[in-house]
Amino acid sequence: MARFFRRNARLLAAVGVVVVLVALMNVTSQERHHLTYIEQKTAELMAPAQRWTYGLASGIRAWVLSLGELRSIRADNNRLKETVADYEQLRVQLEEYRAENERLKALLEFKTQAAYPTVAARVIARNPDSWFSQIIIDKGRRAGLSQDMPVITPSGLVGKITKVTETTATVLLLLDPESGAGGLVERTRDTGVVLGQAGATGNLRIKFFSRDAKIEVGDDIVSSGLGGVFPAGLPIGRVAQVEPAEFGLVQYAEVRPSADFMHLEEVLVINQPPAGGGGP
Amino acid sequence: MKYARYWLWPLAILATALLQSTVVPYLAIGWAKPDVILVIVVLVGLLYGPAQGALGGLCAGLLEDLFSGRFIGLFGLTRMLAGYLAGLVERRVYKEPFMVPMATSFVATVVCETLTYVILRLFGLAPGFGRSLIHVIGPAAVYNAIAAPILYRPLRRLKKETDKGTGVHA
Repeated sequence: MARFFRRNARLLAAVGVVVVLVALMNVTSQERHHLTYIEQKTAELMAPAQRWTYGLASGIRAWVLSLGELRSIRADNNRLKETVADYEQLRVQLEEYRAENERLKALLEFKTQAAYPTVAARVIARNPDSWFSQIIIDKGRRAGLSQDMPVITPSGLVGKITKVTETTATVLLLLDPESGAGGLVERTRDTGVVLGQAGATGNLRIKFFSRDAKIEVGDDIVSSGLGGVFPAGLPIGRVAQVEPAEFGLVQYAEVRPSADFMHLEEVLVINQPPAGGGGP
Repeated sequence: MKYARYWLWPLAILATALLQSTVVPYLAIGWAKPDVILVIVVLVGLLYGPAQGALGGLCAGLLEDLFSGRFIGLFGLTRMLAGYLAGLVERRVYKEPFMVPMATSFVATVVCETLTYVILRLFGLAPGFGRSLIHVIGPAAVYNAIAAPILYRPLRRLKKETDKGTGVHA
């Protein structure tokens, strides 16, 4: 017996590791309300580095984009290269400030118009893989955030908070396969559930409760308020494709989201349940 | 102190995980982005062999699981397999710095991401295979295949650095 274990030590170790990982997956795939100590500490320790690196990458991206715009100007002003370089540096910086200012102004305008108290937060990281869709923001429990708070931008609903540490929060985007939000067709008031899909395609799917739902390409989808997490009336997206109900009892449609999930930089967190919002 | 320099590897994996969640999203074309962590795991397997590849994959994958905060073990398992598979190549193929990392990274990504798909499908979270192949597996395999030869040289240098004083020669 001992010889068997000695001979197959590596194989047994590998099998053991696989069994432990599968068991862990099974346990952690359930909805959890608390992070483990290791997850909590990892998130807190990595947050400052993530904030700094994400900011740096954002700056570099703005700089790279601006290079394309200025290529022709540079050719014409060759002799003023050094001066242009100085101005260029300043321009990029100003452009970045201007863009940020515009975004923040829109956010502030939206924030003052919004019927809910909100907390503004910056995106500091995204999930490393290509299967899930979540972001990490730079506000956490200290800013009054807690689990299940809805996250929005001026253009539409973004998702909800799933995990919170003292200084950061993880936001499950609507695009995530585990995400679900009550939605309705603004024109016909047909209701359904807006779902994300694994392996982000950039689009959402809405599953209607009725197979007779009258839905057309171009219809606007807004949150229904059902489910109790998201307030009613927030823009979710526009129907891009209707999938006919074949044998099933439900009908699906592909929805192009209103929020620009690819370029999320600042978001607002609704830090109080909406008045009268939420249902079963 | 013989293996003291090996701390460079966990550091490299940690730095990669940080870059993957902050800088790499900016390199996305459409929704496809390279998985630098997976590429590093494949290259570790390619440079060191199956056992070290599997161990590196397990550690890097678990770190990725912690960053994702979901399905702890999912990426640990799939990255462990990718590292192991790449390690098998180490024993059989002459290690030239371009085509081998590229092809290994492509195949390992396809296998690893297909396994991820199967697991997510079992949990009822993945759409049809065709859609996943077009939107995630295919683009990731191409992107990772391009990234592998670029990262191969610095990692081989890191291997030489860590092997110094251990009597091991690359």
